Amino acid sequence: MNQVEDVRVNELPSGSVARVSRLLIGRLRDLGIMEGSLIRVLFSTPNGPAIVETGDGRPIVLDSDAASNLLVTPLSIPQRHRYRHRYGS
Amino acid sequence: MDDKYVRRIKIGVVGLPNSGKSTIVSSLSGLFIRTANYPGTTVSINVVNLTIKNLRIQLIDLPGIYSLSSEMPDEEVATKEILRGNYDGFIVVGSTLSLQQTIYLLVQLLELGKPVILVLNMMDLARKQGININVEAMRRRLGIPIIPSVAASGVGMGELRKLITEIAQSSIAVNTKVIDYGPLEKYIDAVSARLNAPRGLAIEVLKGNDLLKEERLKAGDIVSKAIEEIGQIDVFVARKRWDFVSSITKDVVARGVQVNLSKLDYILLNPKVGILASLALLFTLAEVIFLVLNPLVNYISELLSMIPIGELMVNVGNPLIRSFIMDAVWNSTSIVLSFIPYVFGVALIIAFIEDSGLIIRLTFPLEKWLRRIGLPSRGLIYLIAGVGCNVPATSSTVAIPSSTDRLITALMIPYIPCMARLLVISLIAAAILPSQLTGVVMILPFVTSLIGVMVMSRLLLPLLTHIRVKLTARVPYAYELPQLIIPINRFFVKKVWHYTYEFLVRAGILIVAFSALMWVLSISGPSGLIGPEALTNQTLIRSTWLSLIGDLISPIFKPLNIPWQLSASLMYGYVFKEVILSSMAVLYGTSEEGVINVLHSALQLPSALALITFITFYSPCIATLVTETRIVGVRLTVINTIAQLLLALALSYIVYAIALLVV
Ligand SMILES: Nc1nc2c(ncn2[C@@H]2O[C@H](COP(=O)(O)OP(=O)(O)OP(=O)(O)O)[C@@H](O)[C@H]2O)c(=O)[nH]1
Ligand SMILES: [Mg+2]
Repeated sequence: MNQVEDVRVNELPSGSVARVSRLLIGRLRDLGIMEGSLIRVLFSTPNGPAIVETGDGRPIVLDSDAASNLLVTPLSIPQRHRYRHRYGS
Repeated sequence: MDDKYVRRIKIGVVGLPNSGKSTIVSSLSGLFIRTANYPGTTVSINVVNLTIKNLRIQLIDLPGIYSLSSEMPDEEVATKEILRGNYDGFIVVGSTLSLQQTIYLLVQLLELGKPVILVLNMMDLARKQGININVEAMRRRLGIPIIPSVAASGVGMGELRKLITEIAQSSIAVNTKVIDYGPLEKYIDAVSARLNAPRGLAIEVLKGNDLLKEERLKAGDIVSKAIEEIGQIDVFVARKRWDFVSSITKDVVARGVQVNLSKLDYILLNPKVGILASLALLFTLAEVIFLVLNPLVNYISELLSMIPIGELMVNVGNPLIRSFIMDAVWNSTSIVLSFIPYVFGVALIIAFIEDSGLIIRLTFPLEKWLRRIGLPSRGLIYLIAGVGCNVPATSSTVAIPSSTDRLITALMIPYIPCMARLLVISLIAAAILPSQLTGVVMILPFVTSLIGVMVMSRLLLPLLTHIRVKLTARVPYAYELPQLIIPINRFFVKKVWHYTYEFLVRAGILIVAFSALMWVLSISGPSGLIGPEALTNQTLIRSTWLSLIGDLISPIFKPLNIPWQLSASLMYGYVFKEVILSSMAVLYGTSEEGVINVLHSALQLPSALALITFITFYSPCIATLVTETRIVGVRLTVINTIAQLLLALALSYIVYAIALLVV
């Protein structure tokens, strides 16, 4: 199977770009993060909080719970992190 | 028509979190309202009255929201008001830095059918970032009045006043149908007709807003049909709204910038080094401020020592009155006066932490660690905000949705050293160390308090599950990152001045009153009046009330080599922290040399460090205690307060032992 699986946004390393696949909390929709939108991970900590940039360039802080409830499909992951996170390639 | 009759109108100030609503209300009314650079500064309704000509205006400052569907308790306070309150119009405060989010919220207010004025705040920051918005084009597209503003410097407030009066004259255009929701329109009309409610309310009913359950029942059949045709209505509506937002921003943003993170942000928010970098930044700041202020402190004490108070008092015949004026009143007043540079320094640092956006930068890298011990992200923001004053920080915890989270946060805030405690600590630090190091020693209380929070949250969390029956689950929290800024503007100056002034007056009155009380206790004892001689006679003073009290608690501090005079002063600190210093002054009977000199000779470095550790959180002040009981109840407050005292004591012993080994 070649398909990339969905991951929580805080599983992706900083610098990744991803497409939102599923929102488990409605609040994010009001912040401009919707199913299908593109986001860039600015900072993230495994299982912890994350800061993502929305398509129109606004930084949004997600606390640990919000970050664990945002499922995304990774599109690009910075080179040096690939082996650690086991996505891509 | 008679012009004399007075009209009253009620206007809601609605807006994004952290957009400057309270700053605007404060600036329009001249009152001081708490403001700070993190979302959730205002968590309940502030009502302010102002009069413009014949118009009585009730301005309601509401907590910040991103939309009318609230998830947090403070947001619910705001949305309930907006949906149910009887308003004549709204001022929507948006930030030029997040135009999209502003328009997204604005649309929802417009749909409610009341007159709306849009204030586009933070124009100064936008300009600095090179963001350029065509306000005229935006006015044309939206058909409503728009005021670009810099609330923190008062820019745009005159125009806003003028427009508010226009709401009363009903001369503001109402534009309800900003977005065409296509297939949803017929359902919106149907619900609106059925409930006799404005368009916006009908949309919220269809979206399933939790606050409108009753209305949803009444329109149940229409809602079901709509869902059948459209699917998830909230998703549908959000999409339409964001589409509208991007179509507008394309037209009106002449020049925009992508992510507005500064280079410094990439360091401060870095999960690995962020927290250290933030702390380094803060302590450099503290160090610089205290270094600059130091000559001022010396200058003021020199000035004070030039006042020939002794000679002036020679004419007062009665030794008791003379002693009262000199030892109780004058001593404490001169302490208050020589305090000023320190108060100012601490006020400056606190205001800087609040307004620069540093609180969020501290929260982000810490969250993961403090979450393990039960602190939620929102709680952490208030915890750090507690360095200003524990009282508002504790009452802000009502905005935390889950009860476990709320309780544990409210219980941990008293472990954070507030401005008053930091002031006492900075004075002790100034006394025992060369002035260049004052800022460095200020690290100690923060380390102590972090340890306190780590230890106590672990101990108290299991207790919570025992005591409280209903504990609710955690609610995820997300918000737009506030900008990192150097807050130099009119409002910041006003804030620093306000903190300094308030602290001086409040502390000043207390200090003088308590000095008088201490004076009485130190010239009398179980045997009756001893006389002012007791103040200078080391044998006589041993039979005073004060000495008895000091003896009672001194065994605890003896091992730390803290003299009884100091430990007795700590007793009084239970009432208000500021009093500790004045108590010391009376007990040592100091006049010209001041407390700093006394401390210098009375304390060795290890004892001083132990004392600083102890003062960090040995007790909250009365005001904090009262607020704490309101949030967590009496029982938990008592347990927590005892625990605080014991832990503070234990930690000061540990610090003393370590310091003895090292020094
Ligand atoms: N640079 C700049 N700062 C501003 C301006 N207006 C307000 N501020 C600052 O922005 C921060 C937030 O202001 P507040 O008035 O507390 O915002 P609020 O909308 O009441 O926030 P919440 O109550 O948390 O929703 C404060 O630090 C203000 O000093 C402005 O026009 N320019
Ligand atoms: Mg506010």
